[in-house]
Amino acid sequence: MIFGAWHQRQLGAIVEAMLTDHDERGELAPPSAEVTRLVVEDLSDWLTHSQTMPTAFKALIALLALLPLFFVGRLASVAGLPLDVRVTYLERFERTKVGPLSMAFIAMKVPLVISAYEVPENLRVTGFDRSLTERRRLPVAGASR
Amino acid sequence: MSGEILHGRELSGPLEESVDVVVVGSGAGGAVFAAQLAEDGKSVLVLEEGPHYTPEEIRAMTPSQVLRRMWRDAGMYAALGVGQTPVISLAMGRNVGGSSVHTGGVCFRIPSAVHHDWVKGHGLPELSEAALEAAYLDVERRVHVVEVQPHERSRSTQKFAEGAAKLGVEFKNLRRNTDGCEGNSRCNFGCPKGAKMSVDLSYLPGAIARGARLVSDAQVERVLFDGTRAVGVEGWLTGPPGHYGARKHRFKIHAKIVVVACGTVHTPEVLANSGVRSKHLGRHITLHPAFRMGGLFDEPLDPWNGAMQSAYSDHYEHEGITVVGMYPPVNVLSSGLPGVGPSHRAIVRQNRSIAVQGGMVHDEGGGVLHRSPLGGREPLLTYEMVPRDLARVRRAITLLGEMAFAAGAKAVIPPIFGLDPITSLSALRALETSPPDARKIECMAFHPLGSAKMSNDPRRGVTDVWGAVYGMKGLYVVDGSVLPTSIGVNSQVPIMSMATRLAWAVRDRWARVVRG
Ligand SMILES: Cc1cc2nc3c(=O)[nH]c(=O)nc-3n(C[C@H](O)[C@H](O)[C@H](O)COP(=O)(O)OP(=O)(O)OC[C@H]3O[C@@H](n4cnc5c(N)ncnc54)[C@H](O)[C@@H]3O)c2cc1C
Ligand code: SF4
Repeated sequence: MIFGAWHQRQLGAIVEAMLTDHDERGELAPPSAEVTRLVVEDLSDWLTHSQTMPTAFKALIALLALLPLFFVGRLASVAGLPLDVRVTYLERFERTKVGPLSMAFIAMKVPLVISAYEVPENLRVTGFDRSLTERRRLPVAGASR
Repeated sequence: MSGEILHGRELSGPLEESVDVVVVGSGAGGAVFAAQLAEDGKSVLVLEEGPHYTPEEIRAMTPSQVLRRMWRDAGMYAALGVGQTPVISLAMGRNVGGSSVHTGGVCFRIPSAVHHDWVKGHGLPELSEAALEAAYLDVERRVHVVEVQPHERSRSTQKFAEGAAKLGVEFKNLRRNTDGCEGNSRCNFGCPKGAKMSVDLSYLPGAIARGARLVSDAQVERVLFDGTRAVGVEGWLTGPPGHYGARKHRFKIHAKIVVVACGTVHTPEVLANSGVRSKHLGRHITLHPAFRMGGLFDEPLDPWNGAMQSAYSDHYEHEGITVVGMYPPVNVLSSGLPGVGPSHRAIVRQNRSIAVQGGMVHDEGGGVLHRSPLGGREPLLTYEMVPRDLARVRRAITLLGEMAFAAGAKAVIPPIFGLDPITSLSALRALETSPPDARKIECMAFHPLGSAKMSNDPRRGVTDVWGAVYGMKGLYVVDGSVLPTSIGVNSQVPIMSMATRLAWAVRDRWARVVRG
């Protein structure tokens, strides 16, 4: 694990908000702690394959962790926000008109979502009908081999 | 005599060898050159920084595993935008076979107009269309270029083609280097069928059968010289995987000629480390900035079934825009969809009904390489998009959105971070007339070119028209970096054909090349 305890907590809070859904009563339903843990661990593994990104990613986590005051008026880190405020905070962050901040958000969101949707219970939500390593079920007529 | 592939990370000590030809980089340029010279009976050693994976190993990986193990910088390399320029996520392979392993298989020749410009505008008659014809034919035969048939189009591509037709825009069948494509639509992340004839499957096995050897996990640092004559290379065996660039043992290879084929972003570093000086080295880089447009339809399309790239349109060629079909794996696509938590889930749930189309612009070339201020393996690439090209990107977004609406999409999902799906043509067009910050555009690139460009004049280029580095003997560059300008089409066949032409020239003048 390349993240220390503080970064793990902040990243876990971001992952949880990102994967939160509505349940059948319309209430916010966070992913299981197990899914959140899997995604945090997988991101850590992913970053070990890059030389520069571990440092850059930790800086991104810190940036997202420390700006709630400017987007939702709360003097707390992202991990200190209740789930509903966290979701609102990250939504506002993503929509910011400030190009560099928006890019910072995306730099975090892209690997997070790619990794999260390889977890089978998330992949199912997309409607994709097989595992990501499986071949297509219906062969194309006329393929040359 | 048969050669072999050695995993550098498994070697237990330093490596020292002597060969006729050492090729640095095993991608589209390097593999082709190596195969041609091995077939001519030369002893060839290929050194590749990245790891070697067999098709069976690749097919067992998820998209993110391919990204982290086989894409440069774990798939997170990007060109840093200067001024009103998006950050451009730049995809490059770092593995045996280079970026060729990750292509969508699209095969274009260099357009006639570009050849004409090279001959007339740049004074390079040696790069005419006719001069490359034999090389094109040779490459297309070896990599099995076939036309994608309409029945292989995904419903995603069909939707955009229908919309385009209503607007009077024709979609044509792409040509691709596949043999037995079954439409798994994940070509950029390793073909699960092994159907894509990337150079690791089309060229390297033949080279190895003719005695060539390849060492993976071998990062060349510099070329060795005797005076101005290149006599070999040295560098580090690296590994294990997951420890990017960790150095294990040194290697030193002595050779009669040295061929650098590290790709546009890495060739300049090896040349600069080796004392090559040119004001053009690491500059003028073109990228073909590209993006995707989503169209949200009422009915399920199962857009992931079909050839990943099957059709294109050159209708807007005069505006510097090419429309190219594409569909990424569903988790990769989801990462670019807007929203957080429930709003993101809501749109992710509609993936079955989202069609995707790609566009790319023929750019002027604002890329410059620098040593990274953070240190480490990867150079920093800055890219300043000229206003003309930014306008092209914005125009292309409008054009693709119009096609989706014409096909009956209830909303379009433009490549703009954080923007909700757009449900009206007027809102779509407003993105062009009152555009958001350029840095909010989700931009990618796959074709870096031109960092060590060819010229007939040493004051205007790094190599001559035969890939020989000016001022040095026995040192050649054979990859995307030598192309003199942006070509406006996908670059693998152009690079392979150029490499073939350069290999034939070296083969035919061998005695002079090693003596002179
Ligand atoms: C995701 C993706 C999709 C693409 N799709 C298409 C497509 O559909 N059609 C198309 O025509 N083109 C496509 N391309 C572009 C095409 O693959 C490239 O233009 C082409 O492969 C570039 O060839 P190259 O020889 O210049 O570099 P590469 O193929 O990138 O090879 C360079 C190799 O050199 C190695 N290397 C670098 N530095 C060193 C060093 N110091 N020592 C040893 N080895 C080193 C690298 O690890 C790499 O393996 C795509 C590219 C990508 C990444
Ligand atoms: S579309 Fe699928 S089968 Fe065809 S080449 Fe791409 S990954 Fe392979």
